[in-house]
Amino acid sequence: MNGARPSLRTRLLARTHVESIGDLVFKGFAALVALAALLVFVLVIGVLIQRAMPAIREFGLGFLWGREWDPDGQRFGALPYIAGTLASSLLALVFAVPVAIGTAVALTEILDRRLSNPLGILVELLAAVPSIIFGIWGLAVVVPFVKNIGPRDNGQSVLAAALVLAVMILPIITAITRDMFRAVPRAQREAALALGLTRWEVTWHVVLPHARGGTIAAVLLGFGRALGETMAVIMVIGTQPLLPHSVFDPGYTISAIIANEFGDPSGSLHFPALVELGLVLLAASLVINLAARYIVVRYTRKIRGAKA
Amino acid sequence: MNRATRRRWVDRGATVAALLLAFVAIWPLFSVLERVWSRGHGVVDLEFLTGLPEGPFLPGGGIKHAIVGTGLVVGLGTLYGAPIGLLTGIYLAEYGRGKFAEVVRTFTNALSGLPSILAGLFAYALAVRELGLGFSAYAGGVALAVLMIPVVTRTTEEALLTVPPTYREAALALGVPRWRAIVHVVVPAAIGPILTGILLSIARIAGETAPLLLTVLTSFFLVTDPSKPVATLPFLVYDYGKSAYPKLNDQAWGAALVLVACVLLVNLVVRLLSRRRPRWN
Repeated sequence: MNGARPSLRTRLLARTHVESIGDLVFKGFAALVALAALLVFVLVIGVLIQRAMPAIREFGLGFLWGREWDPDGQRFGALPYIAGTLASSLLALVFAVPVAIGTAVALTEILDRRLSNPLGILVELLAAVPSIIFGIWGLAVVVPFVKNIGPRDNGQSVLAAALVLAVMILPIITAITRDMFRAVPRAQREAALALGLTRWEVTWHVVLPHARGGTIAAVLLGFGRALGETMAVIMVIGTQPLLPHSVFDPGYTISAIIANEFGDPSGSLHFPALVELGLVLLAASLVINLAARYIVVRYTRKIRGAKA
Repeated sequence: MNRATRRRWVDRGATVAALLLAFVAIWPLFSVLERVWSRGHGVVDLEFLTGLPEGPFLPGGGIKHAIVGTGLVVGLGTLYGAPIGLLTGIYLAEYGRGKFAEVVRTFTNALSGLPSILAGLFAYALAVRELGLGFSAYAGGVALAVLMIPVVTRTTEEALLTVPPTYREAALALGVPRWRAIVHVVVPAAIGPILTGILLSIARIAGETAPLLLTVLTSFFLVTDPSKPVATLPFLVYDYGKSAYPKLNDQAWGAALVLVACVLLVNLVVRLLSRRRPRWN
C-alpha cells in the first residue's frame, strides 16, 4: 500500500483536520472574548466589593437600617436612601403598570396595524430619550405640576421623581407586554370569540392569563430600571436624606447620593460607604433581572410544553 | 339593562379606557419634544454649534467642545465595547451550547440591567484610580463599554440565530471550514440587524450622563486629548441646567435639543430602515 494515493476518506479527514486548526483558533478566540465579557461582570462585582470592604467591616449589616448619614462623624446608614429609592420606584410602578398594560392591549387587541405600528414606534422613541433630558423636562414640567397640586411650596419630591420614573419605565414594560400579548396563539382568541365572548372578555380571560408570566417579568424589569435611574431622579427628588412621610416630601435615592457625594469624600469611610450603597443597588438589580429572566424562561417552557 | 347589553357596554368602556391609556403613554414624548423645541430652538444656531463657551455674563458662545468631547468618549466606548459584544454574540450563537456559554449568557443578560451609575462607579474605581488613568475620556469609554457589551452581545446573538440553518449547511457542504462559513456567510446574512443593534446602543450610550459624572468630569475648553477630562453634551445639559445663570439655562436647552435630535434621528432612521422589532436595554 506504500506510495498509493490515500483514500478519499483519508484525504477528506486530513483536510478537515487541517481546517479544524482554523476552526479551533476562531472558536478559541471567540470563547476568549466571551470569557472577557464574563470577566467584566466579575470585575464589576469584585472591584465594588473590594472598595466597599472598609465600610462593610465597620458597619456590618446595621448599615442597611442605620438612619444617620454623617460624613464628618464618619457614621453612615443607608435607610433614608433605600427608603427613597424604594418609595419612588414602587410609586412609579403604580403609575406606569396600568398605562403600559392598557397601551399594550390597545396595540395588540384593538388597533389595526396601520395605527399600532406608528404608535409602537412612538413608544419606542420615548425609550430612546436620554435620562438627563427627562431630568430637565421633569424640572420644568413635572415639578411645577406637583407644586400646584401639593401642600408644599417646592415641587421637588418623591411624587415628582415617581412620575418622571413612570414615564421612563413605561416603554420597556409596554414593549415586553405587547410582545407577550402578540405571542398568544391566534387560535386561543378565535376559540374564545367563537364562544361569543366580547373583545374585552377575550382580553381579560384569555390574553392576560396567557401572558401573565411575561407581564410579571416586564414589571420586574421596569422596577429594576427605576431603582437604578440617576440623573432624572437627582434633579427632581429634592435630595433630602429624610425618611419621606408623604409623597410630597423630598427624598434621596442610592444612585443620587453616589453621584452627588463621590467627588469629595471626607475621611476614610465616606467613599467605601457610597460603594456599599452601590453594592446594595447592584444586588437588588441583579436579583430582579435574574428573576425576570427565570420567569420568562419558565413560562416559555410551560407554553411550549402545553403545545406539545 | 340585560346581560348582553351590559357586556357590550363593558366591552366599549374597556376599549375606550385602553385607548385613553395609550394616549397617556405617548403624551410624555410630545411634552418632552415640545418643551425641548420651544426652549431650545432659539438658542441653536451656527455659532452655538461651532463656537466655544464664553463666560456666563457674555452673550453668545457655543458647545463645540461638548460635541467633540461626546464624539471622543462615545467613540472610545464603542471601540472597547462593540468588538467584545460582537464576538461574544458570535460565540454564543454559533458555539454556545455548553455550560460555559449558558453562564456567559445569563450574566451578560444580568449585566444589561446594570444601573449606569454603577458602571460609572466601577470605571471610577478601576480605570480612574486603580489603573491611574485619572478623570479622562479613556475612563469614560470604559464605563460606556460596560453598558454597551451586553446589548451588542444580545442583539448579535439574536440576529445570528435568525439566519436559517440551511445557510450554514450549504456553506459547510461546499467544504468550507466552519469559521469561514461563520465569517463569510452567516454574519453577512445577519449584518443588518447586527449593525442596527450596534447603532442603537451607540445612540443609547451617547445620552448617558451618570457614568460620565464619575469618570470624565468636564472641561470648559476644547480638549482632544483623551487622557484629560473632556466636556460632553449630557454633562453640559446637567451642569448648565442647574446653573443659576439664565444664559446657561438657555444653553442647556439648546444642547438638549441637539442631543435629542441626534439620538432620536438615529433611532428613527435605523428603525425605519431595518423594520425589525426594537431591542430594549
